Amino acid sequence: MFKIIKIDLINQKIDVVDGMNLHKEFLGGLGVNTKLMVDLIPPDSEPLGPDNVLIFGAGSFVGTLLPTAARTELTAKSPLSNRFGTANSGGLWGAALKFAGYSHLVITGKSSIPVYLMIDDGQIKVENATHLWGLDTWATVEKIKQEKGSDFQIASIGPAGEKLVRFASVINNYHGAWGRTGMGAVMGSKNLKAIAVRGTGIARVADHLAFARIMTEAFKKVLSNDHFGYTRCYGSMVVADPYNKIGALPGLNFTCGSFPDWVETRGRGFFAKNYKEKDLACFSCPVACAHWSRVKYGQYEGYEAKGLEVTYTFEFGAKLGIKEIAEILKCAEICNRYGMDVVSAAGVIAFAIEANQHGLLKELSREVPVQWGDFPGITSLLDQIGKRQGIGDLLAEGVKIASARIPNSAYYAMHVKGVEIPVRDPRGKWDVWTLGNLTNTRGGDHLRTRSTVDALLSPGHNHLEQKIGRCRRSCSRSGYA
Amino acid sequence: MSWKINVFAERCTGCQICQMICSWASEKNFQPLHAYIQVKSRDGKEAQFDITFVNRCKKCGLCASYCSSGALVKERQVPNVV
Repeated sequence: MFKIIKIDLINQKIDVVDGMNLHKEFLGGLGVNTKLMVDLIPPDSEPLGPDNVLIFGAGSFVGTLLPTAARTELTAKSPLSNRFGTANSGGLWGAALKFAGYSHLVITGKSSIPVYLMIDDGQIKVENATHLWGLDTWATVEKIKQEKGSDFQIASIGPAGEKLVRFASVINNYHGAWGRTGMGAVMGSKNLKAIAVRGTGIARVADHLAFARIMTEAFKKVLSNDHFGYTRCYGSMVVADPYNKIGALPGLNFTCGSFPDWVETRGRGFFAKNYKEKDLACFSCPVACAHWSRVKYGQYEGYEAKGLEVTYTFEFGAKLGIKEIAEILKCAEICNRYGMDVVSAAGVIAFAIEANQHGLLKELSREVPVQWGDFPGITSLLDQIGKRQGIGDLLAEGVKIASARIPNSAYYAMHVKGVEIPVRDPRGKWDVWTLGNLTNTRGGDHLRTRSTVDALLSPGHNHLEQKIGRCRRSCSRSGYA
Repeated sequence: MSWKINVFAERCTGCQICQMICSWASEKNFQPLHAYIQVKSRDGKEAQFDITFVNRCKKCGLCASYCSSGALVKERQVPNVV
């Protein structure tokens, strides 16, 4: 259960080593991943070169019934920041890895041909993926499930990862993602298309009585928490309305902290009433903050998707100004199929639109929609980025590199250490969000220094009543870069 | 005690907690496949689920006690009086 698989793609050499000592010294998926990264990746290595190492690490309790223990961390040197890169995803993949008997997977080198890994309990194989190369992530998952079995859990990259889009993500089955910091590009640089895992073994605990006591207590705490009902009902969308109220939306590339019609068009209640079909959960999670949605009217009637997540809403709905929830879900599907990060994709498009509005794109301007909320134009740009065609080839480099190549555009490039700033305007809470964005380990980030809606309501700091974040021109944005 | 377990599959979130607590109760280990209740994705896309019980299930009701979505609801069985 705590074994580490080490695979060298140059010669397809596979080693399995015991990782228990590492787990005793470093905490969870991220702790062990970080230690392995420090030990294995040379400081001067190129993120998209063969020296970079891709490390999957399931959390210590994944595979048990501790509530919410479903997360797996994916770590490598980031092609966006050229520094520490790491992303996190839930779903079933990590539990399958644990049940197969492993906690971590370390991938080094680069294969000469496209390959995918198959981990079927004790059997670990490197398989030819030439027939999968070029497929989007959903087609890849379906193809592998057809060939190997529907009970495999699959992490895959799409065309964006293959074409080394710097913010390419690794997609967890269909809808989950190791989204941030370009881990999909690192996987693509190794010619590694997918990792399919099936585990039928058992997860043991050392002290049954102590574990049962902690597990029961944890369940009680989660289910009796005041926020449980709201989070089940709205999922991450729970913060959509409060953030609009305090002006912390990243609207129109951080120029607009709130929208007058937000609650009626993209609010949490509007979504739950008109789109949500049912609640969905990651493995072993009683919260079930994910949803399945169906469009019930209009031109997209009948369209179904997993979501809505607040990340989709804030990135496509606020940052790019798309008002129609069905269109926001479609944008997220395009990103998931190409295998690219929703946050960074929306970030570079917002940068391109604003730079174009200020006349900075010159001859490239024909390829960029001028208006915010232009759904056909935005999806066309997403396609171009995923395929690295036209201006998409430039935008696929992320806002930091793209802005360096477009004179005078750095002011509109919203990033920290090259990683696009996600989800909320950091100026919404100077003490936590702003400082957190500037100091956290992976650049622009809303999760590593998190204070969610409960912190907004803490006594003496009722940020719901504060009007902030709407006056960006009075704040120097260059401070974030 | 044996319970009647009412299944409302359309409410199932796919968390597999019912399977996990069942395998824990019977083996003191975790493996969803070893549970007497099985939850399978119906369409392969993680949205709808089928819930079945294997014959050995004693209807202890633990799965329903841990179900937070209302997909499993236990009901006290009235013993047959002869």
